[in-house]
Amino acid sequence: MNFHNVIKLVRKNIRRNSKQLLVASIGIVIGLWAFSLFLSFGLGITNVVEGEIFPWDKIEVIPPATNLETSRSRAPESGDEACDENDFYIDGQPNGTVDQDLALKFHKRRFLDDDVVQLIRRRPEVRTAYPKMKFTFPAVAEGGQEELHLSSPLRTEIFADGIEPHTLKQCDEAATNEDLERPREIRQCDVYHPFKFKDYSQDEDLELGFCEKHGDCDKYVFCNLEEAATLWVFPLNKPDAGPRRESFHKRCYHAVPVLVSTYLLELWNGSIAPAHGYPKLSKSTLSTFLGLSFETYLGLSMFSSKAQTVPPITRRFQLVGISRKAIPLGVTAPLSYAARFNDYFATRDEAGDVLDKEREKSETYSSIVVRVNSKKQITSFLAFVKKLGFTQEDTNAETVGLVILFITGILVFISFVIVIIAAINIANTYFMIISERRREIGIMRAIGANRGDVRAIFLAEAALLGFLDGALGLVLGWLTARFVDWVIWNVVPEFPFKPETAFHFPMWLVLSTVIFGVAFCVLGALFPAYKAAKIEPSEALLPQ
Amino acid sequence: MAEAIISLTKVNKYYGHGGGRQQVLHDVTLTINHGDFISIVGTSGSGKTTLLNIVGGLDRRYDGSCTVDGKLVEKLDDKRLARLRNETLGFVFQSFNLMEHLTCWENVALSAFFQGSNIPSGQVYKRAVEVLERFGLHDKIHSHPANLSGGQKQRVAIARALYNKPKILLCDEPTGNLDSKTGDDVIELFKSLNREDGITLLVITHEERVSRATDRSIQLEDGRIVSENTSAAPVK
Repeated sequence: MNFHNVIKLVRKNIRRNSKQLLVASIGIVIGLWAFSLFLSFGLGITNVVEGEIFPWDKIEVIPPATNLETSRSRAPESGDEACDENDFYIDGQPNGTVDQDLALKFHKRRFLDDDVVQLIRRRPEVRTAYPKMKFTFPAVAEGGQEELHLSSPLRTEIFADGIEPHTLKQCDEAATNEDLERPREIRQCDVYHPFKFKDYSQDEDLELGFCEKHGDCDKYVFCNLEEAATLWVFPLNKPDAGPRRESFHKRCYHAVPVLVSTYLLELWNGSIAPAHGYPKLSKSTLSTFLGLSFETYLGLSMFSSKAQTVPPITRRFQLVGISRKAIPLGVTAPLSYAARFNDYFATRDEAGDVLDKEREKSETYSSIVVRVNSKKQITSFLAFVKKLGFTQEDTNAETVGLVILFITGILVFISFVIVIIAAINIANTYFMIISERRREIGIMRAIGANRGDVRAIFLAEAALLGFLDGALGLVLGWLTARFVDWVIWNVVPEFPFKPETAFHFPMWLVLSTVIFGVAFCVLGALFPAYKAAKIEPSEALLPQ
Repeated sequence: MAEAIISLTKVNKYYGHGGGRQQVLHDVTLTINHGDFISIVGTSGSGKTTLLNIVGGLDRRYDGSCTVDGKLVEKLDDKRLARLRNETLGFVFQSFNLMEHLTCWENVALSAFFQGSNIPSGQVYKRAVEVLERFGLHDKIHSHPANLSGGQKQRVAIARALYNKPKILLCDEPTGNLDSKTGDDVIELFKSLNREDGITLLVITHEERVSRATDRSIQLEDGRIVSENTSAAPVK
């Protein structure tokens, strides 16, 4: 019997038993609806978590905890796992030149500096790598009274770090306008026009001129109206120049440009702003808040009364962009600022020199953020990191991923249980249908159908039914997903990382839903179909 | 000498198991030649239908030997037996056994669905229409069986049996559900198929007028052949 004929008969049979099959199909449709909905929800949430909250390709390499106690000239301990020569191959050439100097260096010094950054960048698994330097002193930020229309300034302890400006995408006017129109997931700019994320040199500041009030300076440039001795306590580009505090009173100056993370933005919009009645930073108002500046008291803390060895300093920080590369909770400044601030707050000896163990605070990096090419390469890269003696910042991403996987697994399991019960129902229905069609089976056998033909007819019927059930379950799942998305956006209050859609329907999910529909219906009809094929034609033709 | 197309040798058939086992055919030996028009008569429960099922390959659980068109039925596997039924045999039943959800032409063409080779659907339809037209059903081609009279249904059933041009037509009480006039028409139809197309007919009946119309009539009683009459002689 050819396929065309089978389909012809099957179509007619399904039409004839449509009511029975419709009732039997309800379970399969519900099961597959639940399957597609739960799984797409799991995938959608995973996308948000892995894409925005804990990017899967992001690994933050940090020095091992013990390094805090080690000196820079630590000799390799006996039994230390030496680096494999392959780890130092250049440009991935298997027979390339081994950088013996680097090899030697990493046996002696296990902290993150430019050499380590270069070494990591050469790895084939690595797409990008950039260093970060944390502020190693406390800081308190105050401001936003005018911009946020508050009765008193917002005052908060802040955490900060520094990154290299060249690792960011700094957009011009056209790109800025275009980027602000995009949904946050696909924004490309880190720094928006007209702001710059750079280290403004002291000399440049000198050229900004004198002022009596803020309006006297150019836009986005501030006037130093205070005679505070701590404002310009050290030069920007000339570490040896010494304090030049007196000459900056009533001068225009650039604030320290800082970035905030998309994470902080989400936290602000989802939790802080609603709780305190502050305005949200939406797509439309984002540009308004760029340029927001606040005084930052470096060396002061709201939590700790531990005195710094040097007087605190005050600097104005200005928000110039929103970036995934920024510290999640805090602000990110150009790395050179972080280095100088850390150097300023480093503990010194009586002669005024920075202590050896403190020096690495301003000369080495607190972490190197690495983006790998693919998930498969994470393991090999982490092995390399471990061999170097470094470790990975624990983001809890793995735990969160496992929790999502576990919950999705349970939901999918429940949907499978529904489908299995439905398949049993399908089997029951087919037993009834076969009993009703017993005589027909006899007729078909009498006019030339073999056992395989009878089996094929019933299984094809179940397969077509399963296909329709799968497609219907999928469509219902998709419609429910759209409805839930609508509810999330229009009914549910704001929350951090509110996604555009909480669901993800990849092609494999679409296909697998339909395939499961077919598979479970065929499975349900399998035993009845075999039983039907075994009926002797002479018995089937007996009058009932 | 005429060539045998159906040959049964010492065929015994039992129903049931153990103590309740019942023999319905006793050492039935029978030869039917090409072009024969034979009736098997007997009372209800005499084993007529069982005999027909064995000849038609619908029942293979018997003792003895049954050869149809040179093929030993009990030795054929399921597929070969299905092919024998599809290509060599045609069945006509008392209750017509039409598929109610299929139209007349689809019922007639049903055996084409189970042919091994891929026949173009246009050709299948053409052949079905040709057979239906031969039996005066040209206006019922797209009708469903529910809209036909008993005689029309039986003619559709005969058309279905003849679709694949079988050598043997096996009919189980073909006039049982028909009025006498329509029954006579069907008998005439069988005669013409036997004479003009050379089809071998084996008709099971308990009606005398049917057995009288056949060339040879075999009487079964309690599973045994008790008499055999040639030509249209009345049954004892």
